[in-house]
Order: sequence, then C-alpha cells, then structure tokens
Amino acid sequence: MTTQHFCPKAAAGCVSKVEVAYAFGHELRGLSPASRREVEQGRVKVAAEISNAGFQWRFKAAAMGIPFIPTRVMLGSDTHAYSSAISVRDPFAGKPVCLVPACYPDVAVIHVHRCDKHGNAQIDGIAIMDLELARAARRLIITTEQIISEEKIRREPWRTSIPFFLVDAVVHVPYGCHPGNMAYLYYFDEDHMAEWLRLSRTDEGTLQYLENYVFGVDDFKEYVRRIGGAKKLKHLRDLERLRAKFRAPWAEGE
Amino acid sequence: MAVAAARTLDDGKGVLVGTGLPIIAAILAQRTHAPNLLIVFEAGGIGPRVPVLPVSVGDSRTSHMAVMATSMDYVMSVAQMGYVDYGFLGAAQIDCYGNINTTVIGQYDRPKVRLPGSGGGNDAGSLCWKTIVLMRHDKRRFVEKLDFLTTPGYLSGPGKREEMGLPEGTGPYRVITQLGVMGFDDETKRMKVLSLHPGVSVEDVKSNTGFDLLIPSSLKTTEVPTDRELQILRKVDPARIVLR
Repeated sequence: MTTQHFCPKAAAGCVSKVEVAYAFGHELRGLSPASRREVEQGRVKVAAEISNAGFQWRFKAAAMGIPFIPTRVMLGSDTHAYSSAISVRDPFAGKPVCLVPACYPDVAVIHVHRCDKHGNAQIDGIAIMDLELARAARRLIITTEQIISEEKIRREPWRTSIPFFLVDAVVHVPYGCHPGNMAYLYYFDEDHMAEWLRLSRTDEGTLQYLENYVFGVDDFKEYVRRIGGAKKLKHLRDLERLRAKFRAPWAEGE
Repeated sequence: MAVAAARTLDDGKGVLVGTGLPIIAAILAQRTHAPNLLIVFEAGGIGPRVPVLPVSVGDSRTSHMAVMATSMDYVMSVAQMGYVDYGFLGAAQIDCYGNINTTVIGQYDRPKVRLPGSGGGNDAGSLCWKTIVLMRHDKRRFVEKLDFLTTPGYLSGPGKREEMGLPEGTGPYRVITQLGVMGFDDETKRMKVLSLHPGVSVEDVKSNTGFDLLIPSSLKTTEVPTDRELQILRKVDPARIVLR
C-alpha cells in the first residue's frame, strides 16, 4: 500500500509487520511521526526492506506467472541483505544478478477512474505499480469514481488497464481517494494532511484523528461532510486543474 | 544548492528526479542552459512540463503535459537499460565513498530513528550513470561508517561496484551541500572537495565532516547564483516550500 495509507493503519494498530520500500514518511511533507513511533517502540516489525523497483518487479514476476525475475538493483547494499532477494551468477554471461521473488498479495484495493459492473477498469495517467499489483493480487477490490457501461469498455478495448477476470468486487466511491490525488479529477487535501501530521505527533492526537475520520464515521457520505463537504471537494477539483493557488500548511510552521 | 545542482546537468541528457530540490534544480536547468533536458519521474511521468512543485513523485504534476504517462515498471526499466544519465538522491548519512543511508539511525531491529527506507534511492544509485546527492553537511551526516547501507556509492573502493554486478561506469558524481560541491577522486573513488561556497572556509568543511575528506591544495569558489537564476527559482517555488 502507499505510505499515505500505511501510516494511519500502522498508527491504528492494524499492522504487525511490514515489508518496506518507502514508508514512515510523506515525501515533501516530511516524516510520519505516528508510524515511526510504532517501529521505534517495537510495536511494528519491519520484516524486510526493498527498493521501489525491487518491489515493483516482485509484482511483475507474479503478474507474469513466474517464480522470480532478475534485476540489476540492490546489489552490494544492506537493502539487499535485509530483503527477500537472492543474488546469483547470470547463467549466460556469468555476472552477478539480483533475483526478486514473485509476490502475490492476499488482497489489493485499487482506486480507478472508471469501470463497468464486471470490473473492466480504465486508469487515466500514470499507472505507477497498479497494473502489476492488480495482476498479482489473489483478491482484488476495485473502488471507482465512475461506473460505465460494458459497451463503452468494448468500444475502446485498448483503454482497459484491468480486465474483469482479475476483479472480485467493484465499489462505487466518488472521491474515494481522498485525501490523495486522483489524476485529472482532484488534488491532495493538504489541510487534511497537515491535520494528520499535527495530530499524529502524539498517541492521543492519533486516536483523536482516527475517532474523527475512521471509527466515529458511519459512512463515506459523513466522512465527506467532516472533511469539508462540497466546498472542499470543489476546491480540490480546482487545485487539480491549476485554477486555485496551492498552499502547504505543513510548510508554514503550523 | 538548487543552482549548483542545476549547473551539473548537461543539455540533451536524461535525469531521474524526486520531488523537492531535485525537480527544482531540473526545471532551473531546463529554463537556463539545458532546454532539452529530459525529466523522468519514477512513478511513470516521462518528459512532463511541470507547472508547479509536486508534493509526491506520483502526483499528477509529475506527468502534466508529459510526452508519456507510463508506469514505474517502464521508467525503472529505462534506467536499467542505461538511458538515464543523472539521478538525484537525498541522504541522512553519507560516507567517504558516497554510500548513503536513508533506512535507520541506530540498530536495525530497534532503531533510534526509523527513516523511510530506500524508496527509489537504491534504484537510482544502482542504475543511473551519475548520481548527485543533495544533503545537509554536518558531522552527524558525514560519517566514517553508515548505520545502514541503503544505496551503493563506490562501496569499499575502486572496482567494487562492478564486482557486485552493478553496471560498469556508474556511480556517485557530485555531493552538493550548504558548504560546497564535492566530487570523487578518479583513482581512489574517495570524496573530495571541488568548490566551497562563498564565505565557507576549509576549516568549516573539516569540522563538519566525520571522515577524511580529500581537500586539494587549490580550491575553487562556487559561482554565486545570477539574478536570472534566482528569478526563475522564485517562480518555480512561489510558496517557498523548499527554497528558503
């Protein structure tokens, strides 16, 4: 899962161990106090390290139906020593090569721009790891901004990123990616991220955040109300289209 | 630091960037001496026209008006094939061979500080022809021995990268800090000072480095940013999120 989803889950006690390519941080916003505390205080165990490409290619091996895939990354590092990778000599040329084993997640949840009721899904923009992840997962749940007809999928079959036979469930959740960025639709909600970063500096604050936005909420409609409702959603749409000025509250010393 | 970083990027080359200082430096390079610099983001954006500072390497700004919006698999494959000339890296710790740590401070099993991990760092450090490290220069960061070797520099010296199977001829190129610009000695692969920023003395650098840093007898002074370069920087980060 992305660091943005992992950090609150770790803070809520939902995680006992994790394989890490990048976590415990929120990129430009800085480190994640809550999830780091979980590791530093021994409640969450980091089971293995890996690099981004290493992890990506673990899913690729699974997506290709093969037990491992050779790569040129991680060689010579402690990342390799603490990872699931094994280095061997390439049987053709004799040089060392790093093998990463196939990874089949038990469950994957992916948010897409649109899909039909069978799960044939289209993703606009960059795919990051989603294509391989969708293909590697034993169970796949698709959450979608929009449900379209099967005919629409069939008229442009090259636009299908995820075919129906990989999908176990389809859930219609417009704005389901919040506070994340959904390309071409809505940008990150930085006010919400700043609130998370501020509250999660302490255990009490973390619980307060989880009560406000996770445990104390009946449904997604209520969640949307709590994060600022239609006005907030419009602002996030404007931000995505570069029609609103970008502010980063966490950079303003809050 | 942004200006020094931008100046290392030659026109017509490709650079793998993360968000923050690296993308700022790349945009500055494009708008000054390197208009044909190809910017690549690990999440899949190839050749974007970045309108405003992205918060995440995967956010939509990183593929805005790009020539191609693909996946991490393809971008990392492009690097693995040898198409990417430069890669930017950040670091919590660095040693004299340019090996860096972004994983833990302290013991791995019960760390004093748990950091994000490799991310795309190990990939950039393994696959890009020349890596450029941007970081703060002090004794806690420039250390004799890393707590964890996340991303390979020259490992333990000349020939070691190739021996471990890393692509021949790749490795750290520059380390840019608030004190100066460092490179690596061709023969020994040890870090050496190339230029000090105006007002910085050799003593300043020595007292902020926890290992034996090579200091040549004749040192250049880093050229000051021009007004034009500063103007461009202000436009790229108007909210002053990264540039202070």
